[in-house]
Amino acid sequence: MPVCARCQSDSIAWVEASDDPEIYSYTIIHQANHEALADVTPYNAAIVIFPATQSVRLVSNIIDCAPDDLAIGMQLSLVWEEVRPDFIVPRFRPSRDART
Amino acid sequence: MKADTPMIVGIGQSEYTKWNDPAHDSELGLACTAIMAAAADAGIDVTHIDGITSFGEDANEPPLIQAALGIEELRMSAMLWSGGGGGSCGAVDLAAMAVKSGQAHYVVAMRSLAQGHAGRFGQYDPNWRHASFIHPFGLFAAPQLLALAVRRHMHEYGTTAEQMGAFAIACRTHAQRNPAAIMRSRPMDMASYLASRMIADPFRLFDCCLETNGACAVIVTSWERARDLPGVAVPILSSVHGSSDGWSSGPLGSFNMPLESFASVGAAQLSEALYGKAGLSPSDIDVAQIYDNFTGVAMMAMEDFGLCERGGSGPFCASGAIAWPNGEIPVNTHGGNLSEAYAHGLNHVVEGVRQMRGTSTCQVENAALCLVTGGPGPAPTSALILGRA
Repeated sequence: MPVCARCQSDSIAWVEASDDPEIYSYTIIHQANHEALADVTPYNAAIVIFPATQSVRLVSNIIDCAPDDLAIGMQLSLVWEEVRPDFIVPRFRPSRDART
Repeated sequence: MKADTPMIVGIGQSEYTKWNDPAHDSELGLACTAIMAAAADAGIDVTHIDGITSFGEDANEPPLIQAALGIEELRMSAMLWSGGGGGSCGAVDLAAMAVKSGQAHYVVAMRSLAQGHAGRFGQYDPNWRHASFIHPFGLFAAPQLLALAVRRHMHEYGTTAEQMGAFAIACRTHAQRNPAAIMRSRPMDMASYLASRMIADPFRLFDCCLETNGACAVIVTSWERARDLPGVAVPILSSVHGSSDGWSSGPLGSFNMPLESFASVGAAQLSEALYGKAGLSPSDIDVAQIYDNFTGVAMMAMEDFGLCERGGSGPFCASGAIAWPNGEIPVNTHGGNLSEAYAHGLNHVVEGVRQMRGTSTCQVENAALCLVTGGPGPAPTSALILGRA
């Protein structure tokens, strides 16, 4: 299947992302609509953007951050979180020098 | 008006009830009720309907409807692809194409929803598109997904909760005059809007559309056939459906839309095509029915379709511009998906027809042109311009 919408190429290669993830947008979800989320609600979900890597975006969660401190443009650090031994997801926390 | 202008000659709807009302009819039953009402309104025998269109993965297949209603010959059936209300005006567009081409004579565009029977929207579904990329992070439902676009709009343009409240209050206020509206007898002021519980910040409960059992139907025929019918026919001056470059299903999961139009509904190209086909401009529009899944998203659609400037929908709504009867362009004069019913936006088409017939419960005086838009977010989305009967 083509992976490039410009040239329809199916050739892919791993590229190391730039170390500049930041919050592009976020929401704080107050109504859990899955039982697995009941204990963590309210929780946030964010679009994380890597500006220097062709503005690639990921949906993720921001950890170690109070809801009121979330802000568009907040700079982030990647955290690999092991949900289960066979299930690891990328999450983000405010980077140490985060501007808010 | 050109002699090949497709005409809406009949509108119909079922009773609207809350999604979990235990007494409601099946989706198929609701669909038949709406279609029979539309045929009666048009003054045609329901068995003479020969085309059926729908959208939003409607489960009520045309052959079942044919059997239930005794339709003599089905000459065309088509469903617009789209996972949500994006296709509401597109189903009418398909019907218009069918009568223009001569493929069928009386085409009904319909939508029926009964989530109590068919399953509630917005639940965890591992087969949903983009599921692997969003479900692990707790994103499932439309308000959660579209909150991300609206938060961005607030950031870029300074849109506020009170401005979104102005949109919700306008819809609720209009619904007070509509006997069919679910939110009739429940007026709302800014304090009660702001006090409603948070669902997915920035969306409160009253930023979100209703969940409704109900069905709508509109019958489209040719200008020539419409002349021979007893009812009041409304011309479809322009109808379009489509998806802009790079948009696709972006707001419902990939979020890979172009950054320069991220805080929009991606309908700028579609809007240009819509007005261009009719030789009209946004300033010609007298009244608009804007698909309102969520306040802030409908407001971005108002910008894409030129009712106000880019980024300006917040101040525009707060100024009273969308409120009947004194606003410069009343929006959702039936109450919209927020306060009339969630008939996936086909109720907006029905209300557009009422405005052009002069029979709305919030009738805009001397209204000659009505804009109707389909669901923003899912692609393809769609839109219509209706003319005075």
